[in-house]
Amino acid sequence: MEIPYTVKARPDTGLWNAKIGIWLFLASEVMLFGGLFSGYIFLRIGADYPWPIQELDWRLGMLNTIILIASSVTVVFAWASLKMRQWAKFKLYMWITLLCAGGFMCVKAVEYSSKFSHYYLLLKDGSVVTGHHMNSDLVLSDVSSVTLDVSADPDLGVFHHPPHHGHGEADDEHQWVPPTFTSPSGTEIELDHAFVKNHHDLLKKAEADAFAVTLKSAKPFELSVPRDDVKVINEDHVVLRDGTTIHGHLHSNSYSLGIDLVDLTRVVDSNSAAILPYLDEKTKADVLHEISEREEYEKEWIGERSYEELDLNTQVAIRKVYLADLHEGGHSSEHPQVTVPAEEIRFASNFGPKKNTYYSIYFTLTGLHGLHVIGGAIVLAYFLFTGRKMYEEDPEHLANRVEVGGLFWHFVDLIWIFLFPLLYLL
Amino acid sequence: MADSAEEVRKHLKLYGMIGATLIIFTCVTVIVGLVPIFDLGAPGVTPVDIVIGLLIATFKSSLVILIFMHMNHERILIYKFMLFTVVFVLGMFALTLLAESDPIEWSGFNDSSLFNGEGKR
Repeated sequence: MEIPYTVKARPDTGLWNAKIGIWLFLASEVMLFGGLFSGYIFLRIGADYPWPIQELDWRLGMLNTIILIASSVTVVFAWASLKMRQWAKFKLYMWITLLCAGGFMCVKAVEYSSKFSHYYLLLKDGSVVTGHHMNSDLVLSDVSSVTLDVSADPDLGVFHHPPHHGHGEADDEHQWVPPTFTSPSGTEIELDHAFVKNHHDLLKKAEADAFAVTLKSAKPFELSVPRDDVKVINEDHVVLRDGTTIHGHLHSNSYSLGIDLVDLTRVVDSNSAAILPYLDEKTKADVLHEISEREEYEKEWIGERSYEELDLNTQVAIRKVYLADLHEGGHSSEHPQVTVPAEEIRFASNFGPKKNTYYSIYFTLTGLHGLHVIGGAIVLAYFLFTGRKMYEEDPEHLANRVEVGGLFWHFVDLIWIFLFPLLYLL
Repeated sequence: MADSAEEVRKHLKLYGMIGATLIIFTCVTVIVGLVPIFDLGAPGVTPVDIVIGLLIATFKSSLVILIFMHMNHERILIYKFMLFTVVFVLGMFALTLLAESDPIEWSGFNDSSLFNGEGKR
């Protein structure tokens, strides 16, 4: 039995079925994104930290906006071609639309990955540095013994990724030579991940009622351990998340970073900011000089007010120094290496969703929007690749379905038209 | 209603022009956001910039809705759906903003001693 009104309009409403359906669906989508937008407003108004303004690369955002607008135009042309029974043109415009969708997601992937590799350190006094290539590994020297918690999962622990996380007797970084240990029964063994995994039961049996096996090293060695694997840090031993205890001297517990920004917005007195002793002389001098120049530039606006009395925008304008701006030409390839001891750090993170509420709402909004782009693209691709049969039987029906898919696509473009200024410019 | 092939053909040029207009106004938005022409001496992004930026976005989206999505000659039932939606979305934003003026305060948040400036604590 034919479903009525899939192509011809109902006499009373003047609409065919899918048209009503898609507009109702778009109404619900408006509420979905409206809820997230009001979440954004809420977080921004209530933020107790300087809300990031123009921290995202506006050029990539603008490129994405233009890509999406172009794809909106081409999807209308695709629908129009179907209406005018021009099959070849329909395919052409649909292909361009799909390529634009792919391009949009590629740019988005570039943006997201650059955020996950960009790091942020907040010191206890409010100083901030950001940069790349962060190394927060703990370094232990003179490791004399390792206590394995044999009741735990053998897949975790320091010996899981040997080449990056430790080295034994040989200095050759490419050749992992596991350190040698003496087992409780006196045999010399090489301790690596394979050993732990294969001898898990043996280790358990060897120390029948014990929950831990201690292996003494034949020769003290140095080990660097990723901070994420560590649960407890002491001067003479560290405990990993799986219960492994490494007995050795804590040689270094710090975060090191190639910096691209020094932000002293939240510091009471910029000249005594906690980060300054860790900068090299030139960078420190450049940053402080830049700050005092900006104070001079904004003298009229500042007037007689003290720093604490200024509005947030002005505070940020004075104290947030991108190192690239310090050099003529606007771009510097120099990223001074800065190493800060862990005691000075209040918070460390990459620019992912956990950095602050701005980044969590950014990833939520753009991520959900990106999923909508993918979903819309799948629907349009379905019409492009399987539409020929329907075009031959009932071209008006296909035109209606493409129109409905196009309406969803325009909605996705609409959301981005609001997201771009909101997240990238304002 | 752009139902017949003839009417669609007549509108093709319009669709292209609207697309070009959208791209032009995207550039305008970027300029408003980045270049401090509307500042009254205040650095950074001011409320005026935000209002102008959102007005431009609203204008662009109305072009998309009216012309690309054919709202300028849709049926009454669709207009009713959209009116219903607009009322509820505005209500949702109003609730959010009203929550900000809620006088109940809680002193249980962590110290904001790092922060100089705004803060209701």
